[in-house]
Amino acid sequence: MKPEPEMSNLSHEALFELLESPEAWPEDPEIQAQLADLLELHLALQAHGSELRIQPLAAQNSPEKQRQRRSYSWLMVAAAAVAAMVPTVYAVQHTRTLAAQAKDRARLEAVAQRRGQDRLWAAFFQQSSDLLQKFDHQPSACTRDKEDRNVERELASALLQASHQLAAQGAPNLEAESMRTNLHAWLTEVSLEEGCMEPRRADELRQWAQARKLEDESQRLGRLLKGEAE
Amino acid sequence: MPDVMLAAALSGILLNGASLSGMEDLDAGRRTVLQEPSGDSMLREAKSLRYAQRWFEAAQKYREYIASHPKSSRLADARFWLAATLEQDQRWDEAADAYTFFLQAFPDQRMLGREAKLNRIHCWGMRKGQLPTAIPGLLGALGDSADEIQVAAALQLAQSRDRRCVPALQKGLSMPAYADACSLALVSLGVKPESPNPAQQARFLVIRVKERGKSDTVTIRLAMALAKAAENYLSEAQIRQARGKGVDLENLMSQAERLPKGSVLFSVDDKDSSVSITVE
Repeated sequence: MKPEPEMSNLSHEALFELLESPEAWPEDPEIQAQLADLLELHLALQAHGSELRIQPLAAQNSPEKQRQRRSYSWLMVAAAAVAAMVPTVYAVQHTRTLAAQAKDRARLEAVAQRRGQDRLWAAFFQQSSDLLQKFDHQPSACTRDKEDRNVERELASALLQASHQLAAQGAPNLEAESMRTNLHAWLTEVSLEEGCMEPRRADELRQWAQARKLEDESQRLGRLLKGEAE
Repeated sequence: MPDVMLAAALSGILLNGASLSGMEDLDAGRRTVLQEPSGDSMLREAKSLRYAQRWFEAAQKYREYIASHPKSSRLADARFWLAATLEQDQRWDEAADAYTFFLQAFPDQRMLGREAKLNRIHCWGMRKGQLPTAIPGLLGALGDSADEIQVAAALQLAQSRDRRCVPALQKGLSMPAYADACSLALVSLGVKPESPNPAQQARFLVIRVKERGKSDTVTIRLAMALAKAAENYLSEAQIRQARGKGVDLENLMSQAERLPKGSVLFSVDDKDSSVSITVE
């Protein structure tokens, strides 16, 4: 993969070259918006600069030249004006479009990032709620006096991993983080247990979940985050 | 041992339903009776306090147990749950230190060790910028032997825009559980996610979004490794529509790999925008 140019390391010539080649701009939408602004200014100056270069100041003020200038027909003046203005207007319009597109793109990417985060959190809460519901049901027996909680334990381990990942990523709001912390504690307990669980221990974990309303709250937050993602 | 204590020990054994087959078991029995039942009740109490979210008292109880039972077989558990209790109480610095102590004292604890490392990363993450050991701790975790630990630390560092995490984030793209989080973190740092599969690097998913009321179409290019993130550019209604058309959004990458370049994967629209996704 071609590495992106480091802006601060580029010479002025290289920067101008980069400015005129939007296809080589870095991916970062913020930098793209800044470059688009600069390009607008650069093109506008270029358009006017060519006019200014044509006639040095001393030559413009000589009596002969002044007479010549007066003799230009209005049509020539208009043509010159059009010739100068059209590229400028086009350049300004084009760069404004580029800048607007860069802003729209940055906005859409921010929305997508937020949606992505909310959906990961919503899925975590929904799956946790499903697991808690499953944990409420009477499982098959593991041995004569123990419950088979192997499936729940596997699910709890997977969700615990998801919880670590969400913790590292950052929460969409404080309520979600607080709920994740509660679920994390419960999932830790379940995943550290043996797959064949003492009924008394299973009951203890069930009561803990019920006292904290983990299932209902997980479901509510899952729905809420999914709704907010719209 | 005074007779009173021996009697207490024996009665304890009987109360616990144990039996002694010979005098050689008596010493071991005494130790068990004099320490473990009281230790067990302390641990039970600590757990009850933890379940009741009385973190401060729970931590105290674990500390009492650790001080009074330095040779207990359940010391590792007690140390771990002490650290977890401190973390729940949001005493991040104490919790991080307690996890470090646990990891140093019990390097062979596989399950608890993994949890302790990940939880410690969370504690450091909460305190980066405030606790002097937090950033060095996270940077140290980037060199851990387990990829999962490296990636978790990298995700925390990415939140403070520390670019030293980029290689670990790129590595995380090949870990299904962390791929989404890593790709989001890389994009937020302005870094293109690199697919671990070289064949994928030559391909992009191009997402074209035309919003209602806007004259221009916005084009977004996604590296193939990020194909799953294409879903994030779709609203719930658009996702339903795509599924209705038989598009498998879970496996966009494999579908995109099979199709020739220039193929339109699908296009959907809702009241706000229309979106088309092509392979290029």
